[in-house]
Amino acid sequence: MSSLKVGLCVFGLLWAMGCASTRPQTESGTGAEVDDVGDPLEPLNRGIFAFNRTIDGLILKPAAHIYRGVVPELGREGVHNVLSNWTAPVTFLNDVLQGEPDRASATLGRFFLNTGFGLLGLLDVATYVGAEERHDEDFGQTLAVWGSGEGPYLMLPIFGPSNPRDAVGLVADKLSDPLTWVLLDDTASFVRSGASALDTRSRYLDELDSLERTSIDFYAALRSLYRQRRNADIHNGAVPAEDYLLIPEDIE
Amino acid sequence: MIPALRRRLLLASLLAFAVARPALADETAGEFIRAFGEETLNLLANQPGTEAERAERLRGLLDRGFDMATVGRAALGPYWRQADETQRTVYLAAFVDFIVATYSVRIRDYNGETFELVGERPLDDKDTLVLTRVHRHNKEPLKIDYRVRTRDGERHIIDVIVEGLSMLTSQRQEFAAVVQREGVDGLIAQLRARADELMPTL
Repeated sequence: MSSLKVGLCVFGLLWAMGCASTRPQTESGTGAEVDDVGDPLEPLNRGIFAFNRTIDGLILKPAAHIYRGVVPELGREGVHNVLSNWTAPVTFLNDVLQGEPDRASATLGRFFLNTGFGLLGLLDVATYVGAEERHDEDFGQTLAVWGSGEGPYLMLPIFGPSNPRDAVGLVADKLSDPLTWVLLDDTASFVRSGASALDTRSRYLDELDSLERTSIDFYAALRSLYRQRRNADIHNGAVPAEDYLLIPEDIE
Repeated sequence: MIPALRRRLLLASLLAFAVARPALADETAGEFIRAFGEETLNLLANQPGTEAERAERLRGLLDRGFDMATVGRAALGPYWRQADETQRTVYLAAFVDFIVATYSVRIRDYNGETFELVGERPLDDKDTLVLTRVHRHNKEPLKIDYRVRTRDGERHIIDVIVEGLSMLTSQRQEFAAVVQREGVDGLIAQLRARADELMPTL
């Protein structure tokens, strides 16, 4: 593990302890107040965002275009299937930590089907035979289920939108992932990280481009979407009614 | 144009009129969304005419299906109160043009998606969430929920929630960031500029 990641871990942990009591707030009381976007470090975050976009424009985005242009759809799907299949150990662990036995066994079932009969995950046999829909869990979500607040919004260099809770989760996921300890060889773990970055970026090429073209403040739009996305993930898609924006009949 | 194709297009536009009726009180929120969804798919699948004409059809669709005044007001949030009459009028016009332009961009990506009604979930005494799935080619289905408000027996969409992401919330927080820097007039100018950039013919 590089010193950068250790540094992030310590940094995130300090923040999380300081901010664990901050409740996520996505809406206002009457619908007529400024939404709390939870971003006290906005100027710093915007600076890091500008840096990330430069790196993205120089490296990741062109690489994702080349990947999409060169590798046929079937090949990209195979790569995606393998990568998704091997997130199962971390998802399973967090299903268990969140006290969700049904979801844990669904994760395990998919993993065994795809690893055993789907050539280590190259083929998504589980979906084909009608197994339970795939889901992701991570330690950031587990911390939330355990009662941790998100803390201030953080734009991490390279890693992108986050917060102390999710940054701690990121490190915990890496440490608890058996593959981290199997792929101790630098090349193998680099290939995995690289493939994962290419896979994710290429899948969001069109969506992110379209969001950027249709937004007037890309940073603020992404911030809102990230925080909403995490809230939806934490609730496994069933966002409670009180988290919906209050829209009064008449704001006068 | 081939006569058969012309007939099909004519039939399609007649169908579009058939489903484009006002929402009735005895119609459930789900039925309202089904009719609206069919009408939208029709617009997507059959796009005759110039880009400007398609934008106009989209504007008509938004006008009938959405309560754009409520959406626009909620998107401006607390700053609606601070805006004067003129600003409100100019803002709402710019907002609607901005939405028409952004959706025109997005529907260009239409690729044979189909639409399925999954269920309904009451949100509060005024609003219902209508849950739908959009099935896409070679991708996981997309969960899209429509927040439907009933007022005076009429139903209108006031928010679209894609995979748990409220478009209204994200727009509202995005607009707030712009207003805090540049004021309401600055926001109006930005909306107008972006709409013109995306759809010069608007």
